[in-house]
Amino acid sequence: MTAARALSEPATLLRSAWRLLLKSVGGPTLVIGRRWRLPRRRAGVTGAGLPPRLRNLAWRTARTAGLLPWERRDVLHELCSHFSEGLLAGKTEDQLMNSFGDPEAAGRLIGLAKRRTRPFPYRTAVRTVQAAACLGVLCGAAYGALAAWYYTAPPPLPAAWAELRERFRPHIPEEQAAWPLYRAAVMNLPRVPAARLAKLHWADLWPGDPGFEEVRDYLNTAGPSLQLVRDGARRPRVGRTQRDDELNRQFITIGVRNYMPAPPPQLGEDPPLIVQQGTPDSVVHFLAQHLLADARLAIVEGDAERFFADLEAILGMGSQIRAEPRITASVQSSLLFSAALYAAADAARDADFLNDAHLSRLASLLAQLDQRTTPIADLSEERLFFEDLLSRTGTEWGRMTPAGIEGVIATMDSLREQGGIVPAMDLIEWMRELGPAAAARVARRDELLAEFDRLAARAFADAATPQWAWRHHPGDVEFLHVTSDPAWQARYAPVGRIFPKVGEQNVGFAADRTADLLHRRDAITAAIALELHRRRNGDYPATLEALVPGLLPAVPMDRHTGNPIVYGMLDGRPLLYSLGVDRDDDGGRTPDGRYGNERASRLLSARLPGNEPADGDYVLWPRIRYGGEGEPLPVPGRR
Amino acid sequence: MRIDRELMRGAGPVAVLKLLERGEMYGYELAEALARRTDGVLDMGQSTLYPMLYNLEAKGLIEGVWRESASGRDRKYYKLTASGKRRLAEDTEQWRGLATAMAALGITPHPPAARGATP
Repeated sequence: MTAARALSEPATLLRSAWRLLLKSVGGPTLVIGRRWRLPRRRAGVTGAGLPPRLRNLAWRTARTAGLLPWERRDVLHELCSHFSEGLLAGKTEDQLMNSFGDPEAAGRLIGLAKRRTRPFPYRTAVRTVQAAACLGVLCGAAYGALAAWYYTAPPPLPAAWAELRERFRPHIPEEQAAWPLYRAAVMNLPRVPAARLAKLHWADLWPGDPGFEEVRDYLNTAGPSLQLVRDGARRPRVGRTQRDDELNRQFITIGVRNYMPAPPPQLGEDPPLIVQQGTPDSVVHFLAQHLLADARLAIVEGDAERFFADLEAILGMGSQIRAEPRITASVQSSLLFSAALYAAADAARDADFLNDAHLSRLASLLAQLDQRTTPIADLSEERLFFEDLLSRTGTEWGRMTPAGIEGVIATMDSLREQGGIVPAMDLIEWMRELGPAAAARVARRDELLAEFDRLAARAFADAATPQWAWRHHPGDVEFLHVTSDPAWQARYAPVGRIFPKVGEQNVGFAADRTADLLHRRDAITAAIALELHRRRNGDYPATLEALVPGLLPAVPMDRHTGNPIVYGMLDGRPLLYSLGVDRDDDGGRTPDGRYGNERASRLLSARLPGNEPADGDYVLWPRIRYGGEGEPLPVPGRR
Repeated sequence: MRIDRELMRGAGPVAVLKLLERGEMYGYELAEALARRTDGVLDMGQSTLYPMLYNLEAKGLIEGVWRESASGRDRKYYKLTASGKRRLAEDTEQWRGLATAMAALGITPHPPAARGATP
């Protein structure tokens, strides 16, 4: 074969390379330990022409050695050769048998010796296979023990979680609870499909917008319900729940069917606490949207008293929700307070709507926001949800039980089938795939709760840090670190899967939103002071310091930098802005120069390493309306 | 005289190596030579001889090669390797020392003086 042909045909080339390799490393010696081609086993024995006793002796010896076929043939052939030589030398069969000795012992010794002659790769491979087999057996035994441990676990801990929950839901007397009024308000609302209202963006409609007339007619006919809501908002607590009595069940089946996205599902007796949250907050939020739209309508119609009634009611509802010991309630209340600030900003921006007394009243109302946005206290109810889940799925020692897991999964599946939102989906999916080995690695129940508390404490410590004092939240960084650690994930999987939902993001989000509320509140208060100054002096002041202390207690602080907010002019009217999360002055230009004003204040998106903050300023006054995508903002000027 | 198994385990290999020093031999020939040249003292059964041969082969001290004899029979001839020769030299030295020590104790007669040695 020519070299050219070998190179041109891959198969030929491979064969040539293989031959070269065999030749260079010893070829058959490497594979079977020798070069000599042996006769076939039967031919070797019968060909020797030995008497049966000697042949059997050779056979017994070779068989006892426990060798590979070619090794056995080699030994057999040599023994037969030995006996043949003996017979030819004149020895008798008995003499040869007696001189041979014990064939069993010989076979064992021959086996030991022959195995030492095997090639190193063969011996290594055999040892590797043996070790792997031993390891497999050990792993199998260990997994079997774990499976027995897992599947014979006792049933989950019985606990009166519904009673424990009542610690966080003290009984509120009927006359102090807002819920009965809210419930009646919903049931008395005009029957308009929720889907229709949702399409209208009805909480942010102004004259000339499509659908404005429809919403106005709707709100005018909803007057009695809105009055019930305003009355309820004056009460100290919501005082719910939905499931307590027959009246609430009636509300669920009649009222919510028309107004809520989906009816609360029927989950049987004693479902996990985590599936029982949310809907009451949604109802309050739903009603607050009505009041926000009504406040806008009051501005349009010049009805200041109605505007203030709606504004005070929204603030009252926010305070009611804020009183609930859940971080999600803090988030919900921030949304309500934010809606109130939008209404206040809209009213203050309309120079003809409010007189001096009204402006002072509005500033006074806004000043109450400090008390209403109390610091976020804890995750008590979320922790109870978590503890409830752990108690249903495991024993006191955190031993996850298939029976308990099945129960929780069945509840969640039922919730999903009825169109409900399944909370902590990650955790449910993890439990669905849980097996003995993974369950054995999960930390004890008390350790899981301790880790939950540790991360919660870290999140709250971050939340208490002023916005201008940090770049990346240490708690976020640590949470990212631990959740990317496979060992931590295996040990604290339930915490890793549920904490982001109830804790880490919500604590940070609630804290950021609360700081943002006060940020915007300060700017609106300053804008009111500027308007009062204009009315008294005919023009806006040169600086915000000119308003202090007569019209303003202090110059508002930019919460992203710790310095005073920037005061400029836009179309002849005041412009107030913060430098935003990027902390540099872009001259009042918002991110992208167009819209998305609040992107400049989104701390949550900028708080993780690697996330760049939005480039632009956070314009606090005047409020830049959403929906202006594509429309460039006027270029502001410095005052 | 039967030699104790432990003694045979020490003496057998060096005896085989010594026999192969003169030239290659096959198994039966080795067994016969051992018995004949030691007056039956090292007449070990084949159940001991062949494992010993395979052990020496595994250690690389001897090498076995199948070859057809003049009589037309297949025989496996064993011969010393270079490493086997070195091992034989070392073992011979040790056995001589041992024999001298045994003689000093009166267990064995004094070995004859080495050829050419000065009395």
